[in-house]
Amino acid sequence: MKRTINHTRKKRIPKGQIDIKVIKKRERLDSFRADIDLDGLGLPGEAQVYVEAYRRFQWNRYDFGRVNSLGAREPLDMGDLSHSETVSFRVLVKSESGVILALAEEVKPSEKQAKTPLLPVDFDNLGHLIWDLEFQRSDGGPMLVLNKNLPKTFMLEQARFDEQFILTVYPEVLRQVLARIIYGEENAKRIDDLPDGWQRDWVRMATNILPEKEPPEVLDPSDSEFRRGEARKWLNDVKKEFAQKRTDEWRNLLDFVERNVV
Amino acid sequence: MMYVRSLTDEGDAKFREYLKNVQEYPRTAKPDLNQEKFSQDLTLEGIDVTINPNKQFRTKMDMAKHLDESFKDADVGFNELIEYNGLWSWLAYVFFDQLCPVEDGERPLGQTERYICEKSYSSYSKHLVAFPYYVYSIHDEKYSKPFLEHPVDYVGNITEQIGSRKYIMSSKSLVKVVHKLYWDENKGIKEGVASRKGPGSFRRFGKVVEQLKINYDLHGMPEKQILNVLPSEFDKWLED
Repeated sequence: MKRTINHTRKKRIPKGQIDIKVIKKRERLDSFRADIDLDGLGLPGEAQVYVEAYRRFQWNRYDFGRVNSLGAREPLDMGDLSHSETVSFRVLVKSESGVILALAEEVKPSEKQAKTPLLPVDFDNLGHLIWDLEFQRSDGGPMLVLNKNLPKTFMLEQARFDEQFILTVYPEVLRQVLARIIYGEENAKRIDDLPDGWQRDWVRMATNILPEKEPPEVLDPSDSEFRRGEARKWLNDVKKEFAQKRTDEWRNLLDFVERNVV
Repeated sequence: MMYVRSLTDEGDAKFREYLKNVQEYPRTAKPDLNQEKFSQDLTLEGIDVTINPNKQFRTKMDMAKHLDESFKDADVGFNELIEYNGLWSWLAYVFFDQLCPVEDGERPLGQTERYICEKSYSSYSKHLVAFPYYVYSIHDEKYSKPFLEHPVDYVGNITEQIGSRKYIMSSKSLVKVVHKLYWDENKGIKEGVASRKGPGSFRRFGKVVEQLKINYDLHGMPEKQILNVLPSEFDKWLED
């Protein structure tokens, strides 16, 4: 029997304990998600964990915290690797002094790609616009585009946490996406015919926001049964209710205005 | 000024044929590879970069800077160009008389990989246009010097022994260590570092890093920490 001796005491992380899914946007690699399970390897809790994405001679490293507090510490966008067709990953656990304690190399992303978020974010040159909404995804779904000339981290923070941004931008995004579903020329003619995917997901969300009002049944404005006024009212009601439910954000915004605006 | 192009498969074959001929007949006229069938117009791909085909470069650094400025002017980044091997081959075709000058009636042609950009990293590192741009765009001008302060047609020992190692070249810290060990701001590459068998040489550095990376996360270590784990044979270069 062939025996191997591990002189380095470095542990091998079984690939079955790592699940990486790559998310694509506009046919390009956009970001990834990684589920890493280091249980049972006897690694010190304070050891640092990194995931590296690489292809040819491009190499990106992402901080995944420590063994006892595992999780991505930064946005997992593919950066320079976004133009590649495929990437491989490496998961690395190391000590403070740089000694590698455990490693998994040549980790391939799961075959099945991660589900695209409801509203992916992208950056582009928008002139003096701060944000825009595009429907350029391969499935025709919406994408929130932020101005790339503004600091990326700041803009992402704004989009996630800033009350003013949340209450100004997202109600309008919601209205525009739903309007696209109703008035878009290539869409289903009736609500029941919506295909699985972003349209159905957004209508489901709208129904959760405003459960007491059904979305318009007929989606085709050229259909004699289409009720234009009813559709317009539903869009505005969903938009208003979305903002109405953001009580915390509204209160924080009022506090902020009180403190900072004379 | 002219818009950059990318060699097609047919253009690639034609360039290879020319390289073969030029070795035997140094004065062979360059074929026109700017025709549609031999090269693709990259402006259609959104890469509307212009270069000066007549620009003369003193060093690889000058060439890398010119390309970097041209790409930046057009708002095109390295990541968008990396897949275009045909672009790098086309650039080598454009600057061929500098990359392989006629000397005393002869053209001392190097390996084909110096002019035709191949997919593998080891070949890419030999390319006389792609590699200088790669080094310059990833590492600061200061740290690129050991690799780029050379004539454009020269492939030095440092490129063969260190530049050909992807693990080293993709790490800013490791390239900083190379600069610290082997580069003298006044004299250039330090004397004796290219020795074939000598301790602490380029060759040894490449081999030692290959061993150390098994146990150490060199990519995640700052320059000083790497210097601490290098064996003492490299210390003498720090004393200069």
